[in-house]
Amino acid sequence: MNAPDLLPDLPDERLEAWLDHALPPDEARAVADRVATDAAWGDAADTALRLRAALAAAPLPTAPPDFRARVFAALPPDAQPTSVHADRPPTPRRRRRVRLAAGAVFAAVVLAVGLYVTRFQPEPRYSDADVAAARADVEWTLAYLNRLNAQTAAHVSDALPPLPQPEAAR
Amino acid sequence: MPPAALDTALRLHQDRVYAFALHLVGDADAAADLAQTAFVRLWERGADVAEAAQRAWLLRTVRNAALDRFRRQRFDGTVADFDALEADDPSPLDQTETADLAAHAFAALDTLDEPYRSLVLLCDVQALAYAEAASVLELPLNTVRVYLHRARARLRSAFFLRTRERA
Repeated sequence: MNAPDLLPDLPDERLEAWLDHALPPDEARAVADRVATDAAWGDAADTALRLRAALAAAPLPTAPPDFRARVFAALPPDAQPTSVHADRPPTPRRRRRVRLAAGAVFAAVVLAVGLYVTRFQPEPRYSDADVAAARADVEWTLAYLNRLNAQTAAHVSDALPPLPQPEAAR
Repeated sequence: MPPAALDTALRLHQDRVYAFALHLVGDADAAADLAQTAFVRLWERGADVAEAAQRAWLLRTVRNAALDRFRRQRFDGTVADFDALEADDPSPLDQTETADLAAHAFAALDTLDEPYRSLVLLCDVQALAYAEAASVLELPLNTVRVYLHRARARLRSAFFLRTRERA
C-alpha cells in the first residue's frame, strides 16, 4: 500500500473498506496508521466521509401528486380502488361529516342500550304493604283533587280510570 | 393483487421508487413512466411478490426497465441537471456547503458505470442495507461489498477531479 494508490486514477478500495469496518484486523490497523500519519490518506478519508454524508443528506425527490391515479389508470377497470378519494387528505367538511356520523352511531348505541335495559329489566316485586301504602297515597291525592274539583266546578275523577280497591279496603 | 394491496404498496414505496428512477434516467417524465411500469408489473405479479420483498422487487424492476430503455433508445443515462433531483420544497440544505457538495457528488456519480452507480444510489442515497441492495441488483452479498467499496473509491476520484477542475 502506498500513497499513489490514493491518486484519482488509482482509487484505493481499501480505504472505503476500512471506513466500512470491513477489513480484517491486521489490514484495518495498517490503514488506520496510514490515515493517521499520512496527510494525503487523511484527506482522502475525510473526503470519503463528507461524500457519504452529502449523498445521504440530499433530499430525495418525491413522486408527482398524480402518480397514484396514473398507475391505477393504467390498470383494467376491475382493478380500480373502491374509493376515489382514498389518497385525498380529509377536508374540514369531510372531517365534520365523519364526526357527525360518529356522533350518530354513538347516539344510536346509547339509545339501543337504554331501550334494552328499560325493556328487559325484571319487574320489581312489591310487598302487599307497599301496594296498600301506594294506593292510600293515590286515594289521598284523588280526594284532594276532588276537593279541588268541587271548588272549580269540574269533575276531574270522570277523566280518570276507575281505581282498583286495595286488598286491605275490601 | 387486490387494489387495496397495490394502494398500500404505492403509499409505502412510490417516492423511493420514483427517486431511484429519476436518479437513473435524470428525466422526470421518464422516471414517472419507469416507476409506473414497476407498479403495474407488481400488480400483474400479485401474490408472487411477498410484501416484505416488494421494495427490492420494485427497485430491481425500475433498474431493469431503465437499462432496457438505455439499450433500446440509446438513452443518455447521465443526470444532466442536479436541480431535477431536488425535492419540490427547497430544504435549508440548499443554502449550505453540503448542498454544493451534494451537487458535485451527484455529478461525479454520473460518471460511474453500472452497477457501481446503482450501488451508490441504493446504499448511500437511499440508505438500503447491503443485503437489500444485493437483492435489487441480484448479486451475492460479498460481491456487493466489494463493488460498493470500488464504486465509492471511483466516486471519490471523480469527485476529486471535478472539484480540482472547478478550483
